[in-house]
Amino acid sequence: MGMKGIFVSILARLKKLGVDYADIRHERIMTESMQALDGEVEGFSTDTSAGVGVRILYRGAWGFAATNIVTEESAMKAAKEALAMARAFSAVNTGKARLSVSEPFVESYSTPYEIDPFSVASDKKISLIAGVTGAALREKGISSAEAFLEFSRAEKEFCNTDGAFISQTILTSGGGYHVIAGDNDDAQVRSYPDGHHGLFATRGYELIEELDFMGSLPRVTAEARSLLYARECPSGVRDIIIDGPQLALQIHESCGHPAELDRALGAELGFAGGSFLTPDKLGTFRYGSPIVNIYADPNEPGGAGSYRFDDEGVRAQRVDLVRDGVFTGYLTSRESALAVGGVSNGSMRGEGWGGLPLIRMSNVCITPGQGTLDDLVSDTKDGILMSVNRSWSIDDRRLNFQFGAEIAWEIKNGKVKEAFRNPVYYGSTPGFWASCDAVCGRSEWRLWGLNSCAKGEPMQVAHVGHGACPARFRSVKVGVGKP
Amino acid sequence: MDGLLKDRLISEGERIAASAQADSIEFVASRESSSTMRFSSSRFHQGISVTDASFHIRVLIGRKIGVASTNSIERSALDRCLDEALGIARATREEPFLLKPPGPCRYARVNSFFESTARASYDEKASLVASGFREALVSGVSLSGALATVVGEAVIVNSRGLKAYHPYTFAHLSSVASSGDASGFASAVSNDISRIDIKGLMRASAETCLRSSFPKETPPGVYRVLLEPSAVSELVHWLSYTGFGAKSFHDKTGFLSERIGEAVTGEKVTIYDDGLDAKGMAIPFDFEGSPKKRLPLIERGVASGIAYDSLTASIEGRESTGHASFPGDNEGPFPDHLFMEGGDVAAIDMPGLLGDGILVKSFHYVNGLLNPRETLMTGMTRHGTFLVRDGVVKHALRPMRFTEKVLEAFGRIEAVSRETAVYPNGAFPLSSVTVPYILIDGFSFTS
Repeated sequence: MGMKGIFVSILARLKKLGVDYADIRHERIMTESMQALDGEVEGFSTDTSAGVGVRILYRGAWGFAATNIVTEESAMKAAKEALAMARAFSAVNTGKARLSVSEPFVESYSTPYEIDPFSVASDKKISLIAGVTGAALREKGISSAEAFLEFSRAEKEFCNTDGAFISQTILTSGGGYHVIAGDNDDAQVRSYPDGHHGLFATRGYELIEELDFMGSLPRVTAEARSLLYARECPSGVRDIIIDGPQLALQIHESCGHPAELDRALGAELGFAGGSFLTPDKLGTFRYGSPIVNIYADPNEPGGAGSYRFDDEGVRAQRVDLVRDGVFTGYLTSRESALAVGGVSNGSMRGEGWGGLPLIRMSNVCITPGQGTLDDLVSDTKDGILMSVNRSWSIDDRRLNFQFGAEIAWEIKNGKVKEAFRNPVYYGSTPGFWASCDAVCGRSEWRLWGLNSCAKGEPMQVAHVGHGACPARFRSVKVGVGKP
Repeated sequence: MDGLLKDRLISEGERIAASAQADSIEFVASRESSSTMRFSSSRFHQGISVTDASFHIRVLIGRKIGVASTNSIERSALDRCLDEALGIARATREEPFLLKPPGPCRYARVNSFFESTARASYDEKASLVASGFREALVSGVSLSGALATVVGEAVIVNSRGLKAYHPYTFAHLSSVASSGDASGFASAVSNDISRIDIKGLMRASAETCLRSSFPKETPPGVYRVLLEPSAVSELVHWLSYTGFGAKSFHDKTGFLSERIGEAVTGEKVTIYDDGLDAKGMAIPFDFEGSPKKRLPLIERGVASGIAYDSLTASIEGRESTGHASFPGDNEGPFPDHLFMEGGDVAAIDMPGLLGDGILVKSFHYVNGLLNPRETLMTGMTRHGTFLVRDGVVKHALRPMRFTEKVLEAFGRIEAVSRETAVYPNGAFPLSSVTVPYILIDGFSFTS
């Protein structure tokens, strides 16, 4: 019997046991990762993980169980485990969970790519990362360099008691490198193309080729070296321009996470916290200035968070989170959507087969405005340009934040001047976005991708994309790096 | 989990390790069944039960290293995994060093498996937590959190004759009570769930929440602070992540780089790692099979040591300190059973010693990457921040952001409590950080 036959058999037995709803997800994930340090291969490994997870709603209470043994017997055992948990909860819970309606799709989908990274010769990949780190180390002032590549193929099958059967294959590629300029007094890091292990996308090896590690190296090493002699970023209230990678993380922490409706309804209060974007603010709350438009779209081609159906079987949809500066939408699930009078917009994802689906960001992006970074710098009399995230912290309602960047430059009379080290800026989310008076245009916009978005207990890690470009914010507090 | 599979795991490990296709073969296996019962608004909203395994195979061919892993115990899957590791080793480049996995070792006897945890049923656990919900309802607070239990076993076998096995259990309760702007937190971790006072902890979180009501603002600035163990655990965890591992020591981003033997903080600070201390979540060996032992990191303010695994030790020409993670983990070794030594003051006397200052129950979203060389960190206070005057709590404060060089701040420690508390540290269940209350004369709050 194929997986579909096993699914149908188990779901039929669960219906007889009286479940309100059930779904089953089988996944097989293959991962290849390699790292190089200072010109040598530091690690090269593969991983295969397969299993099946069963989620059950019984008398209004949830249970989820997953097993690494992919047989009908084992999957049914997991189903009974999930049912036992749901029964235990239903016996003591007040209130019942319900689901909004969803069309039972029967479809399959694969993310497109040009070059299968698993078919690329190992030596080519090793040469790339060993080569770039070896070359970096030969540069004056560079004390260490590390490079990463990671590729994964997730094959997923989903079936539920509504009649959906969906198969998807999500291919993801990612990579990057960082160099460290160090002496006995300081160590400064510059990363390419982004911090946090580089850039991830649902694309093939063509992404890695386009990134052109070697071509970027002279600039990256020179900037790292310059930081050893740079002044500390001065404190004060300044106009700042933050570049695409840094804006991506700003969007991630201060818009993406607070717009997760499960978080806003309190599902994460026992762990990472809640959200200031409570349902009473939907449609009326002034989130930012009128030029701020932020949307989530799992259909964005090549995004690290791209998919066609979520892990509840709901079709992926674009949703405007902030329109003309006003908070207009949440990322939702079938259960949570009922709290705001709607249906799910397809935002539920679990990490692999063993992760309970949670509301996750897909590709949360800012709508580009106009002009280039050069135009924006020229239009700035006295400011600071900050590039690539280095540190991040935000409170448990996603209001009070502090972000550090790898490098900054002073802007005087429309010109980029000296570099600053250890730049930090901080503020409160709505006030910060209200101060946004310029967003660069499409030519500066790019889909950045992270492989490390954490949420839930047990903690799950998701790939998320962020379309971002440089933007300017007026009168921001900067430079609290040294109290 | 369908019982422990000691014999089968060891047998598979021996079979894989006996393959003659490489100079060295290591088999690192872990099986776990976990259940996590999450609650929010005083009702269970998520229940997650996962049974999984990981089988890592690391092979050496000369100076070439290959690593592959699978989560299937099927013989055919393990054989494929071995073939993949061999294929990688053949395809990759030679390392400039020769990796030396440990040979046969003797291990200390550590008991971290408790039937009470392994056999606790969903009904029993749900009933215990629900009794906390009912008390909270009377108090007018709402409870969120999770009760998690894990049953697991770890096996290491290698072709040098090393054989190691350890079964374990783990239980953790975290409870967050909230009401309006106020919140309170309590947690406990133990190998033995019967030692966790579930109802008492939920009550404690509610009591802190009620004391946190009607918080007031206080301006940013430098204050005397009394940090409770939950807050201290975050700082020590980040010290470990940014400076106690061999990788940050090697690449010079770590605060102990070039500073071993130097005073790096105050004399009241002693931090060490000890995987055998039963007060933490003890385990007899690391994931290469190297025995656990006490590793001094900072002794009376002086930088004393760094955590190594065989790989980083080989690079630096040293011996492993017993801190290997799974093969293929590129973050490198970290101390995973951290202890900050307690002092000579009773915790109950510490507010009196504080006099005027701020009492911090917990920190949230600490980040130690602002400037790791200077241990500059930031984070928010959470679940209880209080203004103290003349040793007495006057009122609650709104959450505040600190930005501080932690080792410098630790140099201003005036008092350390005798009592310590243990918290989970990182993802693996058998890791912990055990810390006291500390009183610091000057801690920077920046917003």
